[in-house]
Amino acid sequence: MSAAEKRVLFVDDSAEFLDITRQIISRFAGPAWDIYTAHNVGQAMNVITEKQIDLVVVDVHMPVVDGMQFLSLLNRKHPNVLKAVLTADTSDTHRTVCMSRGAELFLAKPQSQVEWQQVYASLNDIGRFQPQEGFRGVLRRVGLQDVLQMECLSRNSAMLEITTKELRGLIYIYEGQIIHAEAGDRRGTEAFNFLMGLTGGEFAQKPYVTPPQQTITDSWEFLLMEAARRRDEIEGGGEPTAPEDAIPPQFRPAYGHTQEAQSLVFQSGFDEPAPTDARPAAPPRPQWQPQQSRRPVRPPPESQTHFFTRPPTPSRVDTEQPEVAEFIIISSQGDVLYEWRCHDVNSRVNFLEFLSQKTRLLSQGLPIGHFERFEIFGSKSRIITQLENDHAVFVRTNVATDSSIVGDNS
Amino acid sequence: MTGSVFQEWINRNLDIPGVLGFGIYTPDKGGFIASCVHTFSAEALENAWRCVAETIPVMQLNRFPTARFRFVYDQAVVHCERRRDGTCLGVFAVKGHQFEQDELYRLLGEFHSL
Repeated sequence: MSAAEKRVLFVDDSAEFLDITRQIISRFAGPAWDIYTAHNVGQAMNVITEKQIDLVVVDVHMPVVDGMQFLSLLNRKHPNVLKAVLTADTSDTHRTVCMSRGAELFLAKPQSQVEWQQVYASLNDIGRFQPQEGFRGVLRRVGLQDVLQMECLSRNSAMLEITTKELRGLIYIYEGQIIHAEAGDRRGTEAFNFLMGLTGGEFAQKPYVTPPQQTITDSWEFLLMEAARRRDEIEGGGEPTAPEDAIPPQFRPAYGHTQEAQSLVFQSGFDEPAPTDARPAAPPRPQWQPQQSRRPVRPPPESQTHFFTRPPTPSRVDTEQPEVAEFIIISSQGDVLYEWRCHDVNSRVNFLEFLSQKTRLLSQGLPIGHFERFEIFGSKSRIITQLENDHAVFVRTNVATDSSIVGDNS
Repeated sequence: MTGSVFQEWINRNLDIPGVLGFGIYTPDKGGFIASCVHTFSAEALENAWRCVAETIPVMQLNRFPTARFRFVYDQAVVHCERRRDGTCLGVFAVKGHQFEQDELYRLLGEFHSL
């Protein structure tokens, strides 16, 4: 590994552009940057893994997998890598989509020396405002469990390094099996469970090296299930986590225009069959099926929908209260914990991820404290989102027409 | 509407108690910021305001209303108001300050009438 401060990968299908980029940016950056290039996404993914890239600069238009798809892929596979877009197509649409998919910067391809210098300065600046609390990039990026699951399903060999202010931990994966973990004085399963229970810190994927010893023999499925069960026990006081537990108390009185409506919202989470990704209290080892989709997006089954298709009629007394129109709770890994009348779950998850990124960036350098919530006031609706360390909530309510809102100029 | 009109208007309102800073975003993607307190550096405020501006098209993409929205932090609130012409005002204010009851809506009203 060189002593460069930053390892930057440029991805573009034009070899000529990549050559020029390397030459010019090298002149500006000198030894401070290690510059890599890739002609396509496959090549880029290899370089990112092998070289521990800090920043990926990607073109929008590329064959097979375009830059926007690549950004989504990067969010899942390499959550801690910074992302920027460098493109000749600077349309507002592309810009919005790229930013909503996690790009920190959206830049036009430079045409002059001055513009090249500006591009370099912007890219060099990009890491300056980065969140330091919680798992870095929580929500907009995938969690530790997702990465582990992905590596194991792919039968990869890798090492995951987890760092907090207090300690550094390592999880070794060899050909899809978790074979060793260490965290401080802990070793083996104890260390693994400890690391999986952390609620803050950063993790990075590193090339596999042979561990000093092999301390874990359980299947990765069992390990992940057991870790999840332990986490649930801690969070839920011994009971499986219920959606109500995840709902911030300050939201509760405002939901639903009647008590009946509230009970419908919450009751459905308890009385209906457990969702497909709910974890059993004592997981049977051989029967667990790994999740193929890391973001289970599931419409309520028919047996559930009858609950919701007939909203309770508001009483006269309640007509001034807002009516819940849509509701979703997602975990910090982007899994849907609960949803009600949410017609486009993926959009909501993407929006919450985007908001997580922006609200953290927004507060950098300003003495305004921690983010609490984001509120949108429409003339006929309200949207409230709240982001916590381990979950996010999105609620849309219908309200009586508010004449103080000057048009919903969306 | 030129940016200078907004700038002059903001300059007249820099001393309102409880206000920490302002941001203006114009439909031509221009804009400016104004800090009212020394703890709000221009650099940090500009970064924050850029984040707000970047949120608007994403809200539009999701078909959310964009006329009024706010970011609530535990010590401050960013009140955002967007005119029909697309110009967006951001008022960074101390959370829970009397300003939110008294002056905020006067400011928003004036902003729409500029």
